[in-house]
Amino acid sequence: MSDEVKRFFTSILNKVNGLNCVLISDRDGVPLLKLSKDNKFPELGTKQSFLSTFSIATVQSSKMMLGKNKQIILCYKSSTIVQLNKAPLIITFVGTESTNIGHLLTYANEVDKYLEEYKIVLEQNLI
Amino acid sequence: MEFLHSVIEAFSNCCLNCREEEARAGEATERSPLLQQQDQRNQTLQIRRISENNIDENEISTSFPTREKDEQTALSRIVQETNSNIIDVSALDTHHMLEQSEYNDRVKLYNQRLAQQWNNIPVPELGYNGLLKDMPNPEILLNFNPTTEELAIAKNFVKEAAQAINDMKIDNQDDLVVPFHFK
Repeated sequence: MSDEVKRFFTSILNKVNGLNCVLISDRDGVPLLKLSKDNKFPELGTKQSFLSTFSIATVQSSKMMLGKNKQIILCYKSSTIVQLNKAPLIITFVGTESTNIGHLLTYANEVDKYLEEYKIVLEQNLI
Repeated sequence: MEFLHSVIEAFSNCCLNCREEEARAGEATERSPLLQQQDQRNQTLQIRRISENNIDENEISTSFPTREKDEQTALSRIVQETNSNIIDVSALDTHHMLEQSEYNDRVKLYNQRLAQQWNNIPVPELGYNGLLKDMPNPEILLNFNPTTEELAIAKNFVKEAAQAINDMKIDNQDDLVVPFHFK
């Protein structure tokens, strides 16, 4: 199963232009899976403090009477970060400024079926 | 004398009227006041209300602590709901930062749990829908530019296929036009 998950996320890394790194983490930003092209992880984009900010931001932005927040896209001068809210997990994609976000988001729905085991691990930890 | 007679008659009439009124006291006549019964009803209602109020007061006096508790819980619930509904932007600055040791411990724990889970629990494999399902990471292989050998093989294959298509011939065995015989 681990190979299946890794293969799926590696295929996203290879298919989406500009994408460099994928992270599956808990809501505090502790990673469960880290994958990247050439094993290079952008330091700031994958920092625990940065990743955990998303969990608060998504909770606060869900209070705007617009329903539950599903994802947050951050576009910086030299990088693009897409974070998916798959509670209790956070999926973070880090890429260059020219990352094809539309293409990346087409995989957002497919991600769910690969996350079940990670969710079970987190639930065990919570108990 | 006539005067005395008239006075006696007047007294007797008065007494008769009094007797008639006494007899009709229970009945409602055209002269009996319409609001009298209403007043009586109001009085009985007032009495009932007073008694009910007394009961309520008694109840209040006995059930005051529970009502207070209910109000407290309702108030705390309202405060909690309001708190959860408020968009607190300042919370972003004070989010929970993990210590390095705790972070490392958790990473280790997650890795252990995942390894344990993948080893112990049989998980049904997800079907791969791709055309090249026998190849690991076909995207990487397909991203490479084709070599001259591969191009030659492909060209040869296409040439043979085209030749085979050209060599296809139809053998005419029966008549194409079949005559129908109508009776």
